[in-house]
Formats: sequence, structure tokens, C-alpha cells
Amino acid sequence: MPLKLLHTADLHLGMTFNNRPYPEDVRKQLVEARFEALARVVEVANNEECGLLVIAGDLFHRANVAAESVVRAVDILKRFEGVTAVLPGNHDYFEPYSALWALFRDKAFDELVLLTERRPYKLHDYGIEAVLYPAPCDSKHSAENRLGWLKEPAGKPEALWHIGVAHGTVRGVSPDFAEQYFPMEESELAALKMDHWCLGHTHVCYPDLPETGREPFLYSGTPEPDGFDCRHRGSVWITELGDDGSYCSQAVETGQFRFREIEREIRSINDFENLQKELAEDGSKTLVKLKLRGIMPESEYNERRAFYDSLGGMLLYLEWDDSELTVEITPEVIDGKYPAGSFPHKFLWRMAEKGNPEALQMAYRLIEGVRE
Amino acid sequence: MIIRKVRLYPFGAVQDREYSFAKGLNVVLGPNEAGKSTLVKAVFAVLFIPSDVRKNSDDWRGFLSSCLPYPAGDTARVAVEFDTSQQDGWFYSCSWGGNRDQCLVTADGSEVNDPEAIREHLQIALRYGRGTYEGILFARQDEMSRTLEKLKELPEATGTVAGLLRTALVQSGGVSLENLEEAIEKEYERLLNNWDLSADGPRGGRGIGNRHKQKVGDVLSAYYKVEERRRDLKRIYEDEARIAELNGKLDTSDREMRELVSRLKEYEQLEDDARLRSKLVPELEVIEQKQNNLKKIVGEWPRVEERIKGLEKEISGRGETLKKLEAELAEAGVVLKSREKRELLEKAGLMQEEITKKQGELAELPPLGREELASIEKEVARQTRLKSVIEAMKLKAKVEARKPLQFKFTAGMAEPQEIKVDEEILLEGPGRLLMESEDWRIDIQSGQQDVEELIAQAKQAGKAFRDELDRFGVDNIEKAKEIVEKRSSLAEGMKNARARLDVLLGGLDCEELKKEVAALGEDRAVRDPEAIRAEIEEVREALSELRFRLEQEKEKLARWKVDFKSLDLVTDGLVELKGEEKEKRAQLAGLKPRPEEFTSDDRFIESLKEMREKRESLREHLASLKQELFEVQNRMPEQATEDLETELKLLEEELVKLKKEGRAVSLVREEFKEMKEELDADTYTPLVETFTRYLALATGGCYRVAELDGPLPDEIVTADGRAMPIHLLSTGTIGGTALALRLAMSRYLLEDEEGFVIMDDPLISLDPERKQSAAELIREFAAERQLIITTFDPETAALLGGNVLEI
Repeated sequence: MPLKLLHTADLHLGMTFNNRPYPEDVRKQLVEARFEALARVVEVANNEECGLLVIAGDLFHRANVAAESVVRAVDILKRFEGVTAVLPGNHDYFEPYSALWALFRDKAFDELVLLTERRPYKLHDYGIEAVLYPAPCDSKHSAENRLGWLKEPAGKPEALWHIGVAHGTVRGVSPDFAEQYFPMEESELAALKMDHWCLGHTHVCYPDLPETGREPFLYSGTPEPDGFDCRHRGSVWITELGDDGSYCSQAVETGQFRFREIEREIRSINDFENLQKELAEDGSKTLVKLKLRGIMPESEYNERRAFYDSLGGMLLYLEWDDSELTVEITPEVIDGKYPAGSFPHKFLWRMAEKGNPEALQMAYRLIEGVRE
Repeated sequence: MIIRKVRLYPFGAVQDREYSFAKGLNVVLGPNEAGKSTLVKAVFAVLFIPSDVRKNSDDWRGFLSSCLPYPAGDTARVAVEFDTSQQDGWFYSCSWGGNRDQCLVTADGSEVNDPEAIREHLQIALRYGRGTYEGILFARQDEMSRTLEKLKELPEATGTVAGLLRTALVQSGGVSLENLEEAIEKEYERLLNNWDLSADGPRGGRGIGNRHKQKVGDVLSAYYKVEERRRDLKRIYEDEARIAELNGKLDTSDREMRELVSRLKEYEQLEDDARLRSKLVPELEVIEQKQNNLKKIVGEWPRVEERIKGLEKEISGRGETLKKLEAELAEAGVVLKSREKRELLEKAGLMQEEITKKQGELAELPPLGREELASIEKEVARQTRLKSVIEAMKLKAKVEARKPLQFKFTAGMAEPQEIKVDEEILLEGPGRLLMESEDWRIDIQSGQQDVEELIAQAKQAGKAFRDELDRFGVDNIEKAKEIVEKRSSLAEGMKNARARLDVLLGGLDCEELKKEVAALGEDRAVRDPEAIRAEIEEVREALSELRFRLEQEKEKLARWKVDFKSLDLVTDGLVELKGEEKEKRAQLAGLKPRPEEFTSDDRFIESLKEMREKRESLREHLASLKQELFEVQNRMPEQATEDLETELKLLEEELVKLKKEGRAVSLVREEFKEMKEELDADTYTPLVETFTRYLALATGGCYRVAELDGPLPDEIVTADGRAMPIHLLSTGTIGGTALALRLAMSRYLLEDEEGFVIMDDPLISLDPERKQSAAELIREFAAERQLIITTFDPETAALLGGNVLEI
């Protein structure tokens, strides 16, 4: 009988989204979205008739996450009809006195396996002929991964499938410049000769394919995007390990929200209109961060607020930075606006000659502010 | 630019009409609503609004949309023919709305359709930008008057005529310098309050520890936010590290605790036996010691008794020896005493003999004592004194003999001598010269004293001491002195000898001593008492030692007797101890052995105690680590550090942006100040001259600029020479002044090139008299410039003259 498992990670339950100026209702939706994502993951696992749900770290956002979130997470996981294996990641790392995992364990049910120890976990008793080999995180940061125990020459227990579960970065795949997120090497993983590796930490799915066969390892990414550095739609892997040694992994989309960071040059109102058309497709679950630059005729420049308002009404959240989008202030513009010999005329000419666009913009804005 | 023709086809309510303009003055005459304004608008539109104007622009919404053909049609169109300063005969047409198009035909007939190129050509032809036309050359007259009314409120503008002109020109863009300055200052403060741009930090270096509480500009506020977030993050990083460290410590301590507890459990099973063993082993040692002691006593007891007997015997022998020695010492003492007395008597005899000898010598010397010697010496001295008195009385006598003469001569006290004189002789002597012969006697005496008496006394003194010497049979005074000394020495020697004798005898009578010595028996040989005494000492020491030993032995025996009563009972005790020892050894053999690593049971028990203490201290340590972990975890924020880092990044970006703005406003502020100062230096002299002339014309000579008293005039004066501050000018006057000002400014702008000015009924607010003067001014201006004036009033048109276009 083949083994069908759902591999996810990085749900970050308890994330507060206080790091950006989200309006309170948006922030609440985003906080709630983490739990909804977990519920959807369970639903997908049930619909796909998975026997095993692997959460490869960072189910929770912090080691001191609110007790209420822990209870809620366990309640959602109870809906899964198979066995759930949860690995502590670097955000919800395990240490013997952790209140988080003490409560989690306390609320856990039979089919919930907490992978906190560095030892093989046999799933035979649950009717699954697989052994899980976890590399749980025990701190927020570490320059060394926790694969060490797997390299010791103790023999592997008898099983059909040997599955590694780890949380951390893989050199060359996930960025970790300071090498502080339990860094692993692809060759290191390969040397451990697992049938399959379920990894967590990187919020982007790897490999970036809708479907794949046997891979040295898989990152599920987060099932629900959580910030502007997350440009994908959020997915999980459904992996089927066949009795005949076949492998098949399929990425299933699970995210509701979309974060988009857009940098655009705007020269006219048409560019604004095109952007609006482009974003109209995304709709009310999309959060957009705009970075606009360019020079526009003043009359069109003055239209931008209306554009932001209409865009903001269309999207869940809009954040814009138009500090590099400026009014066109050419000699013609100055001549056209102010009589020769008048102070603004002379002053703006002089500021234009200074070659400091910011100061010119500032002077223009101030003059226009007091112009009758 | 000089406008030659304008065609509206259509524009507003005008379907298609062409207007021709002349150089100089043009008057567009027509009743209200006839389309004068439409014509002015059309000229403005064709020159300044391109055909591609956006429909959401102000130009469209606020201007052109009202110029679409009325009542129907979506396209407005205007064409204009104009001359430039270089070439005549340009043509330009432009349409807006449904059919947007523009086309320029240059003087040489080339057609230009590119909007950008058209714009450039028009710009050159117009010379000034739209702003200048809107503000001055195209301005509505009422706007000009309003400007002047506004200037009245500004002290700078109304202070001097130059100030008025300058302010009018400077503010002609609709921007008041004061308002702009205030806006710049406000912006500067909003951004840079308490921020030091050059140091790129808070003013006075006041960071978040000592922050500015008031006047916090946006840059400083953003800076504080960044710093606060950095500080929070630093603390959180530290807490995170501390949590990791505490977890590590807890893990180590936990492991240590588990190991300790398991070892302790194992050892505690051996503890009771070890404790029993630690009691039995010393007990056995005590038994063994007792046994050895008793064995020793059994051997010693008879030997001690034997030793006591031996010692008692020896002590008695030594006692006898001591007695004999003491008797010998007493006898030796007596013999030695007798010897001493004999020797004393011998010495006393010798001394007695010496005394007797000295007595003999004394008796042989004349009894001349010191008193007698003194009496003799007194007489000697008296004679000597008298002699010297006599000697002092020197006398001389010269004897001349006529025939040999013999006589006895006595000089002084000398003996008489026989003198023979043959011829003459000189006689000398002291006191008295006595010459005697049998026949005569010559006595010559000194007259000073009674020489005879003196000589007699001297002789008596001599006789007295000689008699004394004779009495003791002594020849001279020296010998007498010798005898006195000798007698004194002998008497002294005898006295000393007697004293020594008395000391020797020590108060004994010499005779008694002799008797005592005679009574002593014969002398006999004895040993030296010191040697005897040394021997006695030796014997006494030996005796003392023997007695001490005896005492010890007796004490030992007495103690044993008290302890054991008898030797037999000691043997019984020994047997009993043997039994006890056997029993304890059997008990010891049954105990579990202690762990090998301990050298003794005490060490093992001690170690158990230490382990229990260690367990306690570890328990406390674990509790305190857990407590700290709990505290640190509890103060961790709701957000993860990654979230805070993102927030910090946003805050930093905001700060960078604000700093950029701050630098911009700072530059604007500096430039503004600099330019404002430069402005004050500008003289606008040509403008002042024109205005001076125009003002007189515009007010019909009622007002004029005061005579130039320096480089610039500073007042307007009435015809009778009263100075009139500008702010006191009446509204009517202002109309004229405004016209003068407007035309002066236009002329100032069009100084060296042809151009047009369009005025919308500039005379409307003037009374007939002033209209007349204003018309003069207008004609004067139009003599050199193209001036297009609209009016609804045919009289005004007539007054002005020029090219009249009737609408």
C-alpha cells in the first residue's frame, strides 16, 4: 500500500503582523489567515486521503506564542483523519522547559506525534510502514544543523520508507548569509540515504514546479503568504511514495492572500490606468506595496491620490511610496506658470540650476502651496 | 510677437470670424456678451493650449470646455497670423476636442505639425512663457487693481515707489514673499526641528537617553523611532542569546542532577554497613590496644617489684658516703682557720718593726718645727728689707790726699777696710761712709733717714735669726728647711704604718693574737674543701635520681594495684578482651564492602554528605535557572525578531526619506534667504522711470512721483507737492495708478522687442477726466507696442482712437 503524505511547514500561527502599518481589520484578517491556512491544509490532506501530515517546523511563530493559539492549532489538527507529525522549527524551537510544547503535548491526541527527540519515530503502530528521522530545532539560531545524530552508525529500524524531517536552510537553495539557521548541505542530506526529505524554513516552495518525481529534498514553503517577500500563492506538497519505489509530488495551492511588491515607472496617467487594470484581476485578497518613480506633468501628478484611493478600495491593502515620483518642472513649466521677473520665476530657475531635483521639487511644492 | 489676424472657426458662440489687428493700438468694441472675451480667450487658447490637452487637465475643465462650439459641435478651432521680431507672416492653427489638430506655417512657408516643434517655435515668438502673459501681458485690469490693493497692506511695498514696483513685479506670480518664507520656515521646522544636518544627528547630540521633548521635527522623531527599535532589538537579541544559554545550562545541570541522583541511590544502599564498619574498626583498635597494655603489665609487674628493692639498697649506701664526706669537710675548715691566724701574726710583727725604726730616726733630728722655721724666716726677711733700704741711699766721697794717707773706711753695713791714698780716691757706699783714722773721723750719712738706726735694726735682725739657727745647731736656713721636711715625712710614715696594722688586725689586739696563736696546736695535712664539696654534690645528685626512680616505680605499682588489684586479675582481663575481639571481627566480616574508589568508610560517608549537599545546591541552581528562563521568556515581545527587523528597516527607510527632504528644505531655505537679499539690491531703475512718466499721465497730472532725490524716488506726491503714501491713494486713483503700473511693467518686459499687450476694458473704473488722461497714457504706450483693448463703450473707443474692430 503506497504512502500518501502532505508536507507543509512555516504556518507561523500567532504572527501579529505588527511590523507594517496594516489597518487593524486587515491585520486581524492576516492573523486569522494563518489558522485558516492550517484548516485548509488539513482539509486538503483529508480530501487527498493522505495518511500522514508532516509539519516541518515553525507551526508557531514564536516560542512564547499565546496558549490560546496552541489549543486552537491542536483542535484544527484533530480534524485530520491520519497521523500528524510536528517538528519544532527555529521559531517554535523545543527546549525541555518550553511552555509551548508542554501545553501542546498536554493537549495532543494519539495521532499527533511530536518530533522533539533526536531518534527514529516508528509509525508502524499507526499502520504506516514508515520511520521519521527528525532534526528538531532547540534554539532560535544555530550555525550547526541537527542532523548529527543521523550520522551515527546505529542501524535504521525496519520499515518501508525512511523519511527525514528537518528545519533550516540548504546552502545554495535558501538564503542564510549569516549561516545561523541550522544550515545543511544537499550532499549531507543525500549521504543520509533517506527515501524522502521534508524540509521547512524557506517560505518558498522548492523546487518551483507543479509536479515532480524523486528529489533530493523538498521545501513546502508556507501554505499562506505572510509578507511582501512572499510572492507566491502559498502551497503544500502532496507526495505519494509507491510500494514499487515510485515517487510523485504535486504542489497544491492553499493560500488565500497575495502579497505583491510592484516597482513601476510612471510617466503619465496612462501608466496609472494600466497598473490599475493589472491589479484589478487580483482583487480583495491582495496586498500591494507600490514603489513608484518617474516624472509627470503636474496636472497628471495631481491625479495620483484619486488613483491610490480607487486602487485601495479595490485591494485588501495598498501601501505606496511615491517619493521618487515627481512633478515635471522644466524651464517651460516655470515660464508657463510664473511671470518673468517674479520671485517664483527667478527662484525656481535658480533652484533648477542647482541641479538638486529634491530641492527643486520642494521649492515648487512650497511655492504652489502659497500661490493665490 | 505682433498679432496680425485671429480667426475663430468655431470657438464658443463664434462660428467663424476673422479679426485683423494693426501694430499699435487696437480697440475691440462691442456690447456685453457680444464676444469680446471670447476673442481674448481664443487668442490665449491658440497661443498657450496645445491641441492634445487632456480632458482631466485644469485647462480643459476650467477653460476650454466652455469654449466648445455653441450650441453644438465638439471641436473648437482658432488660427492666428503673426509677425515675429525676425520675420513676418507666420500662420498657426489649432483645434481642440473631437478633432485635435495643430499646424504651424513658418514665414518661409514650411509646415510644422510636430507638437513639440510647434511649441518651441511659439515659445521663441512669444519670448515669455505663459506665466508672464497670464500675470502681466494678458492680465485682466481688475486683477491689476486688486494686486495694487493687496500691495497696500505690505509695508515693504508701500514704503517707497521702488518698493511698490518691486513688490508688484516680484509678487506678480501670485506668490507673496512673506507667505512663501513662512511656508519654508514651517516646512523646515516640521522636518528639521532640533536636528543637526551637518552632524547628521539630534541637535546637541541628544540621543534617546536624553531626548528632546519639545520641538521634535519629523526627522528627529523618525530618528528616535529607529534608535528605540534598535535598542529594543538589541535587548531582544541579548534575551534570545540568554534563553539559549539558559537552556544549555539547564540541560547540563539536569544531566548532572540525574547522574548524581542515580549514583547517590546506589551508594545509599551501602551507607548503613559503612557506618557500622566505621564504628567497629576503631572499637577493635581499642581492644587490641587494651590487650597489648595488659600483656605488658603482666611482664612488668615482678620486674618493678625487683627494681624497688635494688633502688632502696643503693640509696642507703650512698647516704653513708655522704655523712663521711661532710665530717671531712668540717675538719679541713678548722685547720685552714689556724693557718690564717699564724700568717696574720707574722705580718703584724713586720709592721711593728718598721714603726719602731722611724721613731728612732725622728728622735735623732733637732726639734725644729714649722713654727720655729717661720720665726727664723721672718727675721731673715726683715734684715733683707732693711738692707735694701740702706742700699738705696747711695753716697760718694772723693778723698784727695796731699800726702799719702791711710785710714779705715766703712761703707754702710760693710766691714771696715784699710784704705791707702796716695793722691786721690773715689769712695762709694750705701747710707753711710765712715772714714776713720786715728786722728780723725769722718762720718758721712744720708740725710733721708736715720741710717744709723736702720743699720742697727738690720744687724739686730741678722743676729736674731742666727741665734735661732744656732739654738737648733743649724748652719743656714736651707738646712733648717730640710730638717723640718724630714721630720714631717717620718711622722707621716709612722701614722700610715699604724693605720695599716690596725686594718690587718681588724680590731684585734696584737698581744691577744699572739696568745691565741700560742694556744693553737700543731698544723696538719687536710684535703681541699672544694674537692670535698664537689664530691658531696655528686653523691647528693645520685641520691636524688635514685629516689625519683624509686618513687616512679612505686607509683606504677600502686596504680596497677588500684586498677587491677593483683597480677592474677590482670591475666583474667586479658582473656576477657580476647573474647570481645573475636565477636567484633565476626560482625565486621558480615558487612557489604564499600565502593573501591573510596580509601576509607569515613571518606565514603563524607562523600555521601557532599553529594547530598551538591544535590541540594543543584536543585536550587535549577530552580533559579528555570525562574530566570521564565522571566526572560515572559518579557520577549509578541513579535518575532524577524518582524521587528522588518519594522526597523521600514523605519530606517522612512528616516532616509525624511533626511533627504530635510536636506532639500534646508537648501531651499538657504537659497531663498540669499535670493531675498539679492532682491533688495535690485533697482529696477528703468521700471521706475517709466512708471514715473506713466503715473503723471494716468492721473492727469494729479499725482507724480517725487523728484528724484537719490537713485530712486520714494514717494508719490500730489500736484501741489503733498507727499501721498501709497496706502492712502483712493480707489479711483488706484485705477489710474494700476494702469500706469501695468503698462510700466509691460513696457519693462517688452523693452527691447516688439510685443503685444491685451487689456480687457482698462478704463472702466475711471471718471471721465481720468479716462482722458488714461487714454493719453494708452496712446503713448501704443505708439511703440501693439496694444489690444476691449471695451463695450463706443465713447471710450472714440477717445482711444486707433484700429477699431467692431464685434
